[in-house]
Amino acid sequence: MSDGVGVACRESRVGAFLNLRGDAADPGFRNVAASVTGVELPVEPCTWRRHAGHAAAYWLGPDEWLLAMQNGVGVDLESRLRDVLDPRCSVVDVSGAHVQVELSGEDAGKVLQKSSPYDFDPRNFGVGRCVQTVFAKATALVAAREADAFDIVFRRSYADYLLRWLEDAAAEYNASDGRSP
Amino acid sequence: MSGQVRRLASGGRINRDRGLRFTFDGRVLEGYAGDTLASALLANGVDVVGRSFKYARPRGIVGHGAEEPNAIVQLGSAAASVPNLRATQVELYDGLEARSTGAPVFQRAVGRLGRFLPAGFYYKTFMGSAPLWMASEPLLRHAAGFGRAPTGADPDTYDRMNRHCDVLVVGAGPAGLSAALEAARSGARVLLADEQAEFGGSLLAETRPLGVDGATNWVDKTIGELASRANVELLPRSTVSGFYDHNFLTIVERRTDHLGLVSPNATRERLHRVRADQVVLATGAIERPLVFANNDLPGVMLATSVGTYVNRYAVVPGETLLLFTTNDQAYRTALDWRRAGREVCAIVDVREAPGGELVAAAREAGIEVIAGHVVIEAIGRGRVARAVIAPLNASGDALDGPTRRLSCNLIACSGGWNPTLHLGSQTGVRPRWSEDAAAFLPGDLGVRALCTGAVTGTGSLRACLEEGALAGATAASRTGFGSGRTTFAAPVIDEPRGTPARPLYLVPHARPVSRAPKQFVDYQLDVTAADIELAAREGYKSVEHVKRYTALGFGTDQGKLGNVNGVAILARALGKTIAETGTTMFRPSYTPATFGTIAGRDVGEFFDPERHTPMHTWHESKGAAWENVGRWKRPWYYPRAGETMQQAVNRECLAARDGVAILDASTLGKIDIQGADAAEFLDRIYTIGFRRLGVGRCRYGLMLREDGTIFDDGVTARLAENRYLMHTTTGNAEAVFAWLELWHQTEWPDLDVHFTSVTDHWATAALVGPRSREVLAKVGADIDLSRDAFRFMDVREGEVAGFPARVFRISFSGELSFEVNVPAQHGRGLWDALIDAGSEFGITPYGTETMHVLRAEKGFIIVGQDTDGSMTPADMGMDWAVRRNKPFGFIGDRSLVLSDHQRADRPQLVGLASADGDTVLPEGGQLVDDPKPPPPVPMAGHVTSSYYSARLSRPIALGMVKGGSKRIGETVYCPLADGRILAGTIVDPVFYDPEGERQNV
Repeated sequence: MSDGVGVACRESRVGAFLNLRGDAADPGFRNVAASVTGVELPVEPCTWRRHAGHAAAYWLGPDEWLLAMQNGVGVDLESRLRDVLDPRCSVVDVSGAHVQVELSGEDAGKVLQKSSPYDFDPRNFGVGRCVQTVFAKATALVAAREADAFDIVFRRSYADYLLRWLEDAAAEYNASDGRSP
Repeated sequence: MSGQVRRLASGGRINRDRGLRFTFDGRVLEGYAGDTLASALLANGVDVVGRSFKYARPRGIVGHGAEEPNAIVQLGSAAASVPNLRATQVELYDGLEARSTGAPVFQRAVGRLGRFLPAGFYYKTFMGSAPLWMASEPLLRHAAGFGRAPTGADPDTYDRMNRHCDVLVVGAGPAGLSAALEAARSGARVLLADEQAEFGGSLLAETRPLGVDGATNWVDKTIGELASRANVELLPRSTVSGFYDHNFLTIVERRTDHLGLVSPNATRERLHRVRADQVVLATGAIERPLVFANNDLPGVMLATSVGTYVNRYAVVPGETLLLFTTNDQAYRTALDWRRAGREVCAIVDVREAPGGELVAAAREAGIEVIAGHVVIEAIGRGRVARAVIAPLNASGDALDGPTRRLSCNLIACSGGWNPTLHLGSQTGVRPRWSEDAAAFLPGDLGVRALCTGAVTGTGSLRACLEEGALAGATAASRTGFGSGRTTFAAPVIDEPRGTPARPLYLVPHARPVSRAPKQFVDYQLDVTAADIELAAREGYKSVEHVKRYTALGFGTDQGKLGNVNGVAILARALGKTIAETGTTMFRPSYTPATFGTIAGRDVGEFFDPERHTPMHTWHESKGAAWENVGRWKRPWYYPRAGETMQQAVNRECLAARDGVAILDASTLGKIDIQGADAAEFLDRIYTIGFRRLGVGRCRYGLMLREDGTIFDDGVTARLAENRYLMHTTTGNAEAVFAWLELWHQTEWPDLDVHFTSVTDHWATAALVGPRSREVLAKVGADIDLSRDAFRFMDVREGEVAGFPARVFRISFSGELSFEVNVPAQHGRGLWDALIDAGSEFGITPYGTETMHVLRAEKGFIIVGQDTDGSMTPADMGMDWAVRRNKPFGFIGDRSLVLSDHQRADRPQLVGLASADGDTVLPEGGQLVDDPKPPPPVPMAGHVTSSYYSARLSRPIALGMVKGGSKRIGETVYCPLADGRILAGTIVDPVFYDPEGERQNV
């Protein structure tokens, strides 16, 4: 971070979010999903994968993933996936359901510590990890993007509350909301 | 600063270049940076810092830390006031305003009575008589209270921070510092917290060198190394206040209190919520006072505290010192006093033949050591002037010779040490008595917590350092760091050879305990040795009962000084050992915590989150009044200028019935259900069947609990062969989702079905009214909107106003209605387009109140308003929504035939028409059959929903009436609190369009 900014919080533009359910033990399912979305589904709990400039896949549960597609990539993805996936899988467009922000800066971890009881220390939550957890009085998916930079995905209806919460929590670290010049 | 009459000319850890001005009870005084309020008060020669709780006796400062029972002060005034702080823990700042707590006038009045108040007086006198207690309690509470509540909202900010560490070290004294150092060197994540501003604990007042360094140099070096390590976090001014299950601890960090009272731009206090893999408790020990007559006179202090004031703060809290001790260590205080150039009148040692090296040193320094003696009484007015001493007999329970008087104005006492075992005790582990240590020691805390240093009874400084290092290494190795062995080399410390201590818990007096001047055990609550003996005589045997009867250990200090003496006195009175008598337990918080710290940032706008729909700002701009539904903010109604709520609702209702109106229905719970067994699953969850529902069709369903009562309702649509969309009520969305997962995961894991919440994904605009089709056509929809192509209870996908949309032909109003769903990011766009297209038709936005009126006109229930958790479908007249012949059945199916569910006189849903055609019955109003019944009054039912219907120009209501479905046309009465009795006629619950024609137009 520059110019004395301790924590920055800016909304990320995500083209589409999809919720995908399927059998992680089935390589066929994983291959088909990867070929359509361009990103491999992580099978290790609480991890995420990304294909730079393309898509990210977050492990939500043993049979559940959240796919975040870059602008332009997500169009018709729900139906394209449905066309090729086994009918026992579930795919749901949840693009409207989520808001994603990037929290970055050397004190970003402290803002997370104020917001959630999860252990975000790099020893426990290194780059490539993600977790669904309590966040203030709501919930969020938090992913470690790089050192001192986190992607946070939360429900749209909580966006006003959580953005104000983050701004408040970051204030003492000389925060910038990313919108000011 | 000439006012500081008891400040030494040099020495101490105060900054003499930074003088600070403060007031105490209105007096302007001065001190230095580095002082506590207590050390500054002592420096200024302030002897009396408060009056005691029950007897209003003058009290002075006794200790130098959390144990202080007397110097309880209130800082500031009005909203920013903080009550019940220990002056010994308040860091001095410029402009500090302090008052002693309590209300002196009342206290003195009650206090004069106090001498007639024995232990248990309140129980015996006031609480024995309920009317007397009711009358006297407020007066007593006012008279006896500690401190005053602030008079306004707290201007400060508080917050919480979660922390995780491998090793939490509690206390940064010698043992804590060496534990933290060893753990840190292993690479473990270490958190070190100490309640004081400076780390070092007792080392800050230590005069002996540690190896080649002064003690404080060793502290500085150690802290320097800890601070340089990335794996260590240091928390000064942080009290570990609670130790809970699973190594969860709370730490109260005071971030700004040392700067001033109000810090609007910073967090005043932060509650750290710590999950520690290992905990090292290096909490030290607090000196045990000695119980003798008038031992509460100002000028009676703990020996360590006197030494601390001299060495750390360069304050001599008196002129002529008498040291009264049971042990060798306290001799240091006399030597420190002498080194400070002050007079030591004598050392009165309980032991017959003290002979350790410190004793020799004292004698060498020319100090008189009076062995085998005790101080039986302090004498003085407002401050100690003389001490009465006498020889003690061999068994320690009586005097063994004549008394004599010594002149002194400070009596430093040392009765040994009470390990600070509160945190371990908070976990539920009972402390155990050690005869060797003559102290309660922490019990076995298991494999995830260790105690080290003085809290384990260790007295030697070198041993504390070494044990601490081993504890740090052990704790780290248990978390996978290091070998558990330590390379720590304790510095060489002059550790004089000592003689054993001789514990003494109650100093005998020439008169018996009951007749002697008061011998205080618990200073803060004025509990004396006589009170405890009285309790024992009256039959109290359990230490817990005696605590509650006498108030021993009940104060804000939780008996940090008095508990052990009290237990020992009780043990003797009961003829038991201390081990048999046992101790009371401690609970969080170790020292009092502010409410602000507990609340953190969850106040004001953050108290409870507001959920907003994508159209929220539009509603806001139209001046909507809000209704809270769960966490959602929903428009309640949209008042125009000059309109009352009723006028606005009437207008909105008529628009929906006659023209077109629009409702933001985005908050309804929505669950996407997919899988080969989706239909089967829904069949088991809902009362109605879904197997034969056609694709593109919707069906209303009731969800029951296992007992057959209504849990939720809503419309579910079949989107594809194996895909459904379920709607839930707004307030129940999470509960229903959890319900589905519960049944799937625990009972029917074999069913192939997945659930995804799409509540937030879809924004919903309900277009309602006879002209809604025209609006939809105008805004542009690539869906055939004609009556025959798009029937009631159909769902269609397509584009509306250019957005991808799902449109449901469902209706909660009984009117022609299109519920248009678009992904939430397009919600505002859709809404604006519909408002724009609807303007020529007079489109009217409406809120939840109008929604309620419209549905009540149709007799549609709201789960949770018309039902209360005890209603079955039959009670609500909804057997039409139940299919009893499913192959598997559904949840609650079998319970419907319970005999109680079949009773004819169960409350049943009815309509209620006001008999006067004008008065709206109150919701919740009780219904009776006889307007003037003799009590007890049999209830006939109650009103569940009640509104004025603009369409019908009269009030309408729904209610539950016993056997109501068979009572159409009868009259029931609703008596009001103001004496009026309203009459209502039982009618069919469908008030409007009973044939249901309007929704099919």
